[in-house]
Amino acid sequence: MSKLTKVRIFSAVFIAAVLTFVIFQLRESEASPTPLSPAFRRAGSEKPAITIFEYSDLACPACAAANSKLKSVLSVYGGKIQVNFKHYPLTGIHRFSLDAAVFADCAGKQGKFWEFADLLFENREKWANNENFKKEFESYAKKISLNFEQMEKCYLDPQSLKEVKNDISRGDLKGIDATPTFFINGKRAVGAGQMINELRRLLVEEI
Amino acid sequence: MREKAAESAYALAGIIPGAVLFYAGYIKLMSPAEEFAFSIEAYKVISGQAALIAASFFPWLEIYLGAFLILGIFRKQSILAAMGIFAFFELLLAQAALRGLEIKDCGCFGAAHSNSLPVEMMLNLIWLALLFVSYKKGGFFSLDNFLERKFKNEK
Repeated sequence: MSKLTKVRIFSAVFIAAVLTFVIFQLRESEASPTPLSPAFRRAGSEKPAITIFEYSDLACPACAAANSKLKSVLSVYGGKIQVNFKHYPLTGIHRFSLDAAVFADCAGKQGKFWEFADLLFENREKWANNENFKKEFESYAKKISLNFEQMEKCYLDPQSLKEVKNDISRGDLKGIDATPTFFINGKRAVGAGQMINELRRLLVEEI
Repeated sequence: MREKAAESAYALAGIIPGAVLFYAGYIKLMSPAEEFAFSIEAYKVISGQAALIAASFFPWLEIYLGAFLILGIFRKQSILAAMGIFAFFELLLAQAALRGLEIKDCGCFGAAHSNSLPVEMMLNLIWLALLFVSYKKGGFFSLDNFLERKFKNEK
């Protein structure tokens, strides 16, 4: 093998190695862009100063608490903030939270994602590990006048599951290991406390 | 002067498709492989685990080839490999069009943004033509050429 070929091989391997390293670094950083959630899973301003991505499990108590805090913040600063709800069901602890996520999206397609999600959060202990979760969901759907038959059809559509799984794999890519995890203008915050602190800091800057 | 301009144009003919491959690979690598796997599944050629393996492997191939084309290292081999990839994409798109599959976005640039099937087929042909020109005429502004000249002088 000539010296020239050896140098070319070395250069190519070097370029590939540097590129691989940089890509892995970028993937773990906040540089990788996250697409907005579908409109029914977004709340607040459409031209926000602060964008929040909320990775949440509908059966997790800390997520329920954070969600209600976030709602209070939105009621005051809704003109400046946009919340993008992302599903990150922890099926290892809550067996049916993935199903709940799909059902919540199906409620969203009927325009009532947030109302249905609130009911799921409130009643999480009743359905999280209950094989008859569908009966529970049906009763919540009736409460807020959703067409449950249509929701079931949507639940069985593989596309609905894919949308939730996309959220999960994006969460995995971001290295999420606890719920709720927030990305507030790209900065990670785990739990309601960190989320509120970061929001307060940004809102003070904004005002 | 004219020669230099021509050489630059031939170099661009390789760099542009290289940049397209690099960007396509980068965008996909910044997203979960599952997202691209879902796009691959829409073509109904492979599915499940095979689609996920392809989705994990292809973006790396795109980004390496893109970088090699931009820098001009193993230029001719990279051009041939890139032509192979674009031709493969063209076949994939053509079979989807012929089978009347409902693919709104080609998935070429991940979920971030995509072109429609006809637009992407047209673009692929342009990239193939540019690569062909670069294969035949390009090479002056390349790392390969730089190294060749350097080692010639050393001898």
